[in-house]
Amino acid sequence: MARLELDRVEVTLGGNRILHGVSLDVADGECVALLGPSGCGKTTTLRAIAGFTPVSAGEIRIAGRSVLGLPPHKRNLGLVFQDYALFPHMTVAQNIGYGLRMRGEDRASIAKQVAEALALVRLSDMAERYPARLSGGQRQRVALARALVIKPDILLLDEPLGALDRKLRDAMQVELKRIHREVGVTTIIVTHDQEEALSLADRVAVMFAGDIREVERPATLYARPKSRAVMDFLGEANLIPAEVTADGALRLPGGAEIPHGGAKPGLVRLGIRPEHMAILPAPGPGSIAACVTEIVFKGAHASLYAEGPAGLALSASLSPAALEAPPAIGETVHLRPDPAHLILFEEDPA
Amino acid sequence: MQGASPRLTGFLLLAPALVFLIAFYLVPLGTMVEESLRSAPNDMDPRAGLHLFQYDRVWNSGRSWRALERTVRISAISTLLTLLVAYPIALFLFQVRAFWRTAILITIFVSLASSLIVRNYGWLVTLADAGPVNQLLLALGIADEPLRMVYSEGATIVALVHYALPFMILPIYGALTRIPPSFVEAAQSLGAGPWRALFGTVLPLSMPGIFGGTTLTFAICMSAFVTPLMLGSPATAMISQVAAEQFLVQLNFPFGSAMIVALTLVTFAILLAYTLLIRAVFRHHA
Ligand SMILES: Nc1ncnc2c1ncn2[C@@H]1O[C@H](COP(=O)(O)OP(=O)(O)OP(=O)(O)O)[C@@H](O)[C@H]1O
Ligand SMILES: [Mg+2]
Repeated sequence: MARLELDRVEVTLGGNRILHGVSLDVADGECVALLGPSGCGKTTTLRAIAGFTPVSAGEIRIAGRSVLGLPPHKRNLGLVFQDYALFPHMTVAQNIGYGLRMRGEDRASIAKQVAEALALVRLSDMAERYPARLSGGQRQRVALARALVIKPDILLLDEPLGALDRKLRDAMQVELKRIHREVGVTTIIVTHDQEEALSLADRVAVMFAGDIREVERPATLYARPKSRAVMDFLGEANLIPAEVTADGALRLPGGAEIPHGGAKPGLVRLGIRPEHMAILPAPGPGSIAACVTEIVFKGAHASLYAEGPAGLALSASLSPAALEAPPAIGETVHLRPDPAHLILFEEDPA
Repeated sequence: MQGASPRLTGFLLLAPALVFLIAFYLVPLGTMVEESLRSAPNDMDPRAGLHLFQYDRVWNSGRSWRALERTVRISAISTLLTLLVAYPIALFLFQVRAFWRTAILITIFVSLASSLIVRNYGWLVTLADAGPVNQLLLALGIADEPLRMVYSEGATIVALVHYALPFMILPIYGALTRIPPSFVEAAQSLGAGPWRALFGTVLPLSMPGIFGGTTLTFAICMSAFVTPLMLGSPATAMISQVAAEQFLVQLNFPFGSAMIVALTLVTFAILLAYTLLIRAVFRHHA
């Protein structure tokens, strides 16, 4: 267990700069999720920490000491690979004991620790099985036990649940949370599933194109993202072009105005989550007229998609009650953003 | 072809290959088996009909039995040595940059295409009494006088290893490329140094390639003819040579055929036992 610091880490592969100075500070025992679209450099960051990818500039410190000079086998990290990489010629117990054997521990102590690790991931009755005869979820747990049994300073997980189906993934999320609570090891979990990131991590680091854009607690990140890109990437978002008038009001597309203090006059983008868009049958103060294009049922709620002035795409959540008599496709509705949940972003210079 | 069942279509597509196999492989083999069950005109006590007399001779005549035994021994040693030489080359091939990989692969294919006679002649020259190897040994003071290396079992083995190398390197290289890099990295992350990661994970996981390569090499060595003829002596003759002598010199076709059939059966039996052993040891692999 230790603190992990990435300080302006740069990685260049095959002549391409993949990481452009990634900085991240993970506290002892904390679980941070690296979230970002495919190809943004999440795996590369993990591999740089593990020592499989050379770092061209910057510094990586574990427990305050630089690890850049250490080869992978001396960094004392626990890795869980996306394909689990369980050794097919070893039983579950031998797989889990591998790291302890490499550390030259004696048989009795290995057997004891392997049994504990098996109990932790609730696989005690599978010790003598070979990986080929395990289910996906069981393999995942063996990989986790194998990485944890060596008491790593940092646990690194690359898309650990990516190969599992939806239901198993939900169950394993709960398991992972429990295990992290019991073991308390500093953890970095790479994922492109935002639900996984938001539900598992103490903090989420959002990454775009080789850069960590924002690191925040999940609730804060979702409710008050600092950048438009993060707002757009996380969950569903309305990004509405608007203008701050000289008298401090926000003029929405279609002409409606809502009072708003504190912003400089000029063009802005309003960010608002669909669940904070009220659907009104008639025009109200600060509402935008829009034509319903689609209604999608999503289980716990439903989403209404509509087209506002000048082709502006808008979305709003429909409550189960509202779904009893939903607006018809093609009908005009009036969507009103809740001023309490509005976020103002600077308009990108065109 | 409308209405033809897929099975019939498949059969028709296979037919040319089947005809070829039957005409050029099964028919001669059958003829040889039948021949081996008959008496030769110059046998001491020729008998009519089919009998196992020739096999009795293969087993009991000192020369053919010793040749068979020697063939198995030379093949086993050559296979083992080929594996030891080929494995590092395959590993190198696997790790090296694309340019070198292509260069080495082309070299291997060219060597496959070059004449066996020429290659064996190369070894004759290299290992000759006044050849470069002896000159080197003398120069280094390792030997006081030139060593007799050609026309021996050792020279035969060296040339067989050289001949069989591509058949060992390619399957092993193929197996290595199918090992996901994450296995080695997993071993390293668990504290295995590069060498231990290699022996603990890559070696066992390349077993399919080792198995394929050793099987091929062993079969090739068992049937070797030209190489022991050029680099060995009559005292180190392998079974194919002794059989050829019966076909070409003694004109005893039944006895020669029996040796070849015996060689085929022994090869088959050894490879079967080897396969079963490997399967039993590695039965847990996915
Ligand atoms: N060995 C390499 N040589 C050159 N470029 C590479 C190499 N490995 C990865 N890249 C590039 O680096 C970028 C980041 O890759 P990385 O695997 O870190 O993405 P990721 O965020 O993990 O994506 P995913 O969610 O799809 O796994 C990609 O554009 C990829 O093409
Ligand atoms: Mg990745």
